Amino acid sequence: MFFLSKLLGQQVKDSRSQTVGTLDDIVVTIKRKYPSATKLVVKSGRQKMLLPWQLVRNFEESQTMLRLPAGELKAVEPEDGEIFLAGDILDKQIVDTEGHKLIRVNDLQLARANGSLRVVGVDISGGAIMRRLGLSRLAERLSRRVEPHLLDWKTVEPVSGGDTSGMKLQVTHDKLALLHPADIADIANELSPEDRVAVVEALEAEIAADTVEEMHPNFQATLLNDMDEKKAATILSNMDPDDAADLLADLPEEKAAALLSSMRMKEARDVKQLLSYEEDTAGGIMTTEFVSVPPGMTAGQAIGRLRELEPDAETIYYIYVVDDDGHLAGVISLRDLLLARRDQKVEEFMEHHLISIHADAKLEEVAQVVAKYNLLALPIIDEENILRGIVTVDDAIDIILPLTWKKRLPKIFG
Amino acid sequence: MPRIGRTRLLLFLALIGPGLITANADNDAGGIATYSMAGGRYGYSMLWMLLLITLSLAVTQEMGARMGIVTGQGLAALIRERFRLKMTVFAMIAMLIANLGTTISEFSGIASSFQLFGASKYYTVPFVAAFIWLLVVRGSYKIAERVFLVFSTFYLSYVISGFMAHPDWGQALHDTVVPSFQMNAGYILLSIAVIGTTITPWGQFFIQAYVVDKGISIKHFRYTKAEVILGAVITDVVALFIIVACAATIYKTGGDINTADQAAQALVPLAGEWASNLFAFGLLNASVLAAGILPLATAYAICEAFGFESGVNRSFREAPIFHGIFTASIVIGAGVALIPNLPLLSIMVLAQDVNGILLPLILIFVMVIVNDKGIMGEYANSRRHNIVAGLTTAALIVLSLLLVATSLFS
Repeated sequence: MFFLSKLLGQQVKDSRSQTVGTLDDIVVTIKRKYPSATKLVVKSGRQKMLLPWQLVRNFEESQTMLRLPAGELKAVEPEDGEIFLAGDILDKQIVDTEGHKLIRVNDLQLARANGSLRVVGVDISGGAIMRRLGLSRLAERLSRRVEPHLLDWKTVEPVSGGDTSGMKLQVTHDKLALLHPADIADIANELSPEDRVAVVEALEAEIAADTVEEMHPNFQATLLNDMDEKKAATILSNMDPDDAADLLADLPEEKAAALLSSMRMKEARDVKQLLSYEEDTAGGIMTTEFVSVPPGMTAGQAIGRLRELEPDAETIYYIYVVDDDGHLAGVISLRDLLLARRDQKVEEFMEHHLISIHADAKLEEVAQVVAKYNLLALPIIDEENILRGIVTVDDAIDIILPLTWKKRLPKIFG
Repeated sequence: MPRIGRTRLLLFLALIGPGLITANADNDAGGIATYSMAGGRYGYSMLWMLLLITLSLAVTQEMGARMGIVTGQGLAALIRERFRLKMTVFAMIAMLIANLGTTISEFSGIASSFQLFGASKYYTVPFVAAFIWLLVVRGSYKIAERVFLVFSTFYLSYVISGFMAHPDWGQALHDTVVPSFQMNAGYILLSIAVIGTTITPWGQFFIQAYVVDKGISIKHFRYTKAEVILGAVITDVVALFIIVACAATIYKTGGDINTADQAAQALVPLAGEWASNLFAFGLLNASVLAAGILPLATAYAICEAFGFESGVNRSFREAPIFHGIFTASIVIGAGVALIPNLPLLSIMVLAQDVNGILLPLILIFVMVIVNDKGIMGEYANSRRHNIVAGLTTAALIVLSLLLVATSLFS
């Protein structure tokens, strides 16, 4: 991986190791998904020479070696569909499809691929600013958060900004939807509040829900608050009930109530139940998304139930055995279920001595229990031993690791 | 036919704002202090500069407005795109220093005005700083701006006072038309301040941001241009009367100007013993408006250049850099003004010097961009523009060099 800012100004040498000049710019063709280098601009004194990329014999971060001696180098002209990385893209704005101002191209990330050099990402971090100013070390001393913040080149496309304003990069909403929700969330975190709403509203409800879950907690509540109420309710319905409950707890009461009433019935009920627990208790962080079967069910029927429910991956490893009144009777693991005979009843092979914790238990206790017994999920019960929800191991980790560790913002300036 | 005339007038009124408001905000605390000193210390002898300044102000503001309308971008954004990152950092540091200096001068103006009312600055300045911060963050800034603009009619009192003091109009007219110059550090310093208080780095950023914000189309540019010229003329007519009023009172009686109390003497013919109250009111009004605008303009420009989230309607969490710069500017501005025994009036003039010295830097950036056909297309600078703007830049550089030279040899 290379950063454009590090490459510019490096020495370009000919086949006899004589310095021809310095690298002034790289020309790429934008006809491909990841633009590949087609020409390089070599600057010598005040003269600039455009050379075809084929002349490059060896390309390193510190210098570029050419195949021919200086005398045999012939300059060429740029062609259609070619842009200058430093001249046209660096420092320009990235705008979204509606033309709002977003962020600036602080640096470009390039990678070697099949003998060529390709643009793979756009660095929009404050760290990139420090890097370009030659202050990376100082920045690192002041703050450890100087990692690049990269947008995949796939999500942007260069557009000509009319006659006078030159080139811009555009983030397109349809391309965003192709990304992993965590990546969309990364980009959404960078947007202005209005653009954030526009981006998330344009996504399919399920992807939107995943995106919101991955977004910076500071932005989640305002985002839903600014959003169309129906859309916000649909997104909430698609979120994990515990995340949805956390989010609603951050909203003004009236707004939360309005959203709850427009949510789907079942989800709203789950969320309401979760909202009734204190934030710093097991009940406050548990999810109501778990799989339960009655004791009399056979292994075969239980597998059929799983197929029918298509539960989220993280909750499938433990299947809780619950009697008709909702009392927690035992637990079977997915492994037990698969290994059991099809006609064997669940109560015959379930684990009776299971570890559970009360909904009012403190978070530290939850984390300790999960860690001590190496559990993937911990069932949460009430006074009457009725199963209310589960705390999965990833949520338990969040208790031990401060949030800032997990969601480290790569931006140096916050 | 009269119909068309009326439509035109309405259109002009709709487009009004950028030129008049920027120009009027130029007559801030530093402006009043500088013009008062110019008149009080050197009589009418600096009046000739105002003709040139009016022309330069109109030309530089017109360029800023044109750049904003054509590109739809602020000056900081254009500097970043045309000159890349390193030069942008350089330009932003220059602007930051100039703006911070001016903000300090605004708070000094607030401190001075309260001292004239007999209130200690140690209570009033922090209070007003908090008031301004809340006013802007709470977003009723637009209303505040209008109120202040109405209060700006206070400048009329200088006009009246100027007449009542029976100035030597013959001498005033002569000195306006016939240039004169004195080769000493004091005169040169004040000359730079007179220019620096009117044509300012922040004014360049501000008017461009304003037209971008207003979304004026190039079709209507001639109205904006007319308004810019009108704004420049009004600004300098105000300046002229402040200088004349001070020349006819303070200079004639041989008094000096070092404190706001002395500067208030210019209003004695009109207001008598109420002069210092009238002066204090005017100074307070001018300072509070600018003390709100400047930190805001600084924060917007820096966020624009580096791509940080900006906007008063964003929360501190959403736009930490923006709010950080805005808040820090106010805290530093008010903090410096609170230093005991500070010569407040001199600080106000000194800030204009910093503006005057850093202005050429910003103007060079403006000149290169506004001449770039790749950015400005057919609206790039004409030769006539270049001559006036180029001369302004050159004059300021020469004056700055002179300043360094005279302070070295005297």
